[in-house]
Amino acid sequence: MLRFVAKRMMLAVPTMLLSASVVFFLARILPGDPALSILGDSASEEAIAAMRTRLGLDQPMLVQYLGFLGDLLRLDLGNSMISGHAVTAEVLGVLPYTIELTVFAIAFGVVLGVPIGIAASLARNRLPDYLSRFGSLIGLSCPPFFLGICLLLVFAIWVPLFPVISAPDTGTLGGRIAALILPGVTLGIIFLAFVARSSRAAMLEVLPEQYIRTARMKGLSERAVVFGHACRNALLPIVTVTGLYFGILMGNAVVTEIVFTRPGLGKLIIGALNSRDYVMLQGLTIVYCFIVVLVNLVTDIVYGLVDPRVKVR
Amino acid sequence: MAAPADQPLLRVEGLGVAVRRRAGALPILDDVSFDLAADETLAIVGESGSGKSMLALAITRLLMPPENYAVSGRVEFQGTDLVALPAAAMREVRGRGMAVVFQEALNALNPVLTVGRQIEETVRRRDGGDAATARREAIRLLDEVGIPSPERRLGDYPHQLSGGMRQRVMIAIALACRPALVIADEPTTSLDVTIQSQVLALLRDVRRQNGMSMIFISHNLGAVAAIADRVAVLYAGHVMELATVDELFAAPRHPYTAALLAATPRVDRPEKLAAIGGAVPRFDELPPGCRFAPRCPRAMPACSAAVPTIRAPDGEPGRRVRCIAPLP
Amino acid sequence: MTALRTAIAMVAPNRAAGWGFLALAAICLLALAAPLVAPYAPAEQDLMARLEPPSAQHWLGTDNFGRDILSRILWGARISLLVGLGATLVGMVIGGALGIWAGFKGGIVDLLAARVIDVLLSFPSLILCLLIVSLVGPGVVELIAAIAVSLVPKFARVARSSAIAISHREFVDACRTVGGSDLRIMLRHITPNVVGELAVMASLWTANAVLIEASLSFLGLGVRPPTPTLGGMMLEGLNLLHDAPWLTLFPGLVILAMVLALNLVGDTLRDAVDPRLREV
Repeated sequence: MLRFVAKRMMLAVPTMLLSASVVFFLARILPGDPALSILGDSASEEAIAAMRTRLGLDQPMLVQYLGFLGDLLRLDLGNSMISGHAVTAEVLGVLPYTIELTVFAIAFGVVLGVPIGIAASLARNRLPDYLSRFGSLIGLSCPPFFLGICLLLVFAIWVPLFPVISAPDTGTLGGRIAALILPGVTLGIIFLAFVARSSRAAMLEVLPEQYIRTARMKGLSERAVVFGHACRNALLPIVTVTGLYFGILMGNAVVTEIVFTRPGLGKLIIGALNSRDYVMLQGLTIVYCFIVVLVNLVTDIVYGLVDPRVKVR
Repeated sequence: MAAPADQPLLRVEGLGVAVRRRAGALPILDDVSFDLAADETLAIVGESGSGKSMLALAITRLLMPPENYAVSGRVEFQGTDLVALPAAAMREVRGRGMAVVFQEALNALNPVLTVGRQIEETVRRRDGGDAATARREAIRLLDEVGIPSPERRLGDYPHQLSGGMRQRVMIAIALACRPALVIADEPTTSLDVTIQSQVLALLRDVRRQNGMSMIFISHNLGAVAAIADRVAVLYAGHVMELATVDELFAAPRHPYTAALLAATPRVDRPEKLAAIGGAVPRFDELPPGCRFAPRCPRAMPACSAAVPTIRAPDGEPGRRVRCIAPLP
Repeated sequence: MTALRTAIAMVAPNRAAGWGFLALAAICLLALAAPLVAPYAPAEQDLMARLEPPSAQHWLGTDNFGRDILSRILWGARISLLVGLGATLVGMVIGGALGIWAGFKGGIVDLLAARVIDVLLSFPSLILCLLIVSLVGPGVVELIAAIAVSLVPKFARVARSSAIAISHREFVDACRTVGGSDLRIMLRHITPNVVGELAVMASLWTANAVLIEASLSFLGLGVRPPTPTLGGMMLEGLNLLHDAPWLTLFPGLVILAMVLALNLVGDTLRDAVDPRLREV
């Protein structure tokens, strides 16, 4: 058990290092001089040279890379060029907001999406199935910012139930929750569409299996067959596909945070983009990769623990 | 709910099953009739594609999804017609009155539940009772089907067991229902030859000890000879011949049965094997008249005129044969 | 290619898919014909008719410069489709080639490729595109390149696994024993067998590419104004949401319709090719 977890964690470390390296090199081999684009075309030669020194771009690539790796191992992603604060400190400052948003969305999507998907699979090719399939397709096709804007328009502007600007820092728990609902539901509905669709597909794959027939042969009630046998097997792959979908969820979280003017990693990265804060941008991209790798690690381990067919030792 | 003495345990009469498709219903089983007495073993024999497994599923009403199949005729079990029975009442028949031993236990057992859980849930569904009783009963059943140190196997998952062990677990699940009728659907096909005979012997023994009736579905005539009292020969959805094992092996009346026997290796008659020419017809391309006619060495024009009725051959009231010119 | 042919044969009886194809064709045609059918030039300002709600003159209203929303949407849809299709095509060609090469070569090449694909897949697509566009600057070509980069590992993964499966079939061995070169085997034997599957995935990922383009332009990283983009129009309308919601809602609906049509078509093709998911 412990060895299984440890082994998976060991596998995640090189992936994280490699993805950080990809970001590092991407930022350096792509056309476009960060120093030039920070200062603008009218900048003097000296100013550009000074900026290149400040960014460390004047050093040989290998030296830069080794320095970068060393910093990375000490969890140092550099300092923001605008505020001067450590990137990691800025990230940790807003991380809770993004975490509460994504956790809310995942809970929303799973709690509603799994039952909808199961119900649809049991009513295959009848009205509830068509409705849920059509709904899922719309949810998956909807740009999250469009859904967010619609919810904003209806529930914050026309019927002012929730704040237009999602400010979690009101000091009260109620304020924090009120600020979470609309963005969380926006992100959650799109994830719900994905979960409902995956659960339906997984159930349809499990229901014709022979062990389902065995369960019926035992005289078990339809309830016991569906919940005791089919769902257990169908929900296992949901864990994995959720891990795979997480990258898209993070992308959707960025635009959701922007629509609702909500603090978080998304607002931080767009701020860094607009102020041409390359250190921050590079650091945040790495943070996003790490989050995805860690979530996949967790889903991998969870899958290993719940599916007896995976050799845990 | 025991059947009166003069009534068979199971009476299948004119059973027909058709698959509903967009292009119209496709008949698979047609006019299948047979009786099964208490404490008797009937074998259903046929090549793959003859409709054997569908027969087992039709009797137990496990054809899924039900709306895709049109079932006609009667399946009378302990005096009740199962074909028209409401779903809830049918669940009472399954898991109490009858149980099935499926082929390929690897697929027929749930891969993510322990063996113990799968037996215990069957026990508790039948008898109610608490977890500890169910656990004791599961251990007893595993012991009965010959699994060593059963209490340690309870926590195993199906993939941790060997093929023979898995099939024994499958039998234990069927026994947990304490059924009056057990249907064994090719229970040994996926097993090694040495294991096959062990499982076969086990089935025969548990049937006898528990006083159950059995329908034994197989394409293996050797196994049939070892285990069955009577045999129904199925070909392309029709029962071609129905007789006791001794009668059938001694003197087949239907040309198909004869061809089947000639294609089976036998210790007592070590002659050359004769393969049957051609293949079982597809159900969407059934020949008119006798379904075996295109492959039959004795076919004549009259054979293709109309489907022969199944009847007793001259002087043998206990047998049935579906042929206009049965073998002497 | 057989896969595609089966797919096309399967599509005919499926009603939802029919609507998807129809809608997609209509959107494509309208976007292509934008210069002909758009009632106004996309950048034509009419300061006398600012922020007008939908009317007979301006079917979908005007923005705060008096520009016609309908015309701008038609031109914006052109950009969306151009970037979406272009990025998918580039991603498919590069990712497909890399995947086929790795899957066919096997050994250490394949091992490395599998690792790199894994690493690249751990980048959230949108974030990767944000980083690339911020470095290379916004523009149609740059957007296509950025989105294509995020699609390359996805295509490579699909191509690799089917190339591995095909490489182990007898006819490939047979071809090798009669002296076929690696390049010839890859081009003549592996590629035709992988292309069908890639095309199906492409139709699904085009939907995703269009969504990413819309997100990027909504975040201010799309093709630069005055060229209209659907996401950009929504961004401009966001501050006026209270007074002129049509500025934001209409472009959003068009993105939704476009992506929905692409998804319907992609789903149908996938179901047709993957028999497990085919309707009974």
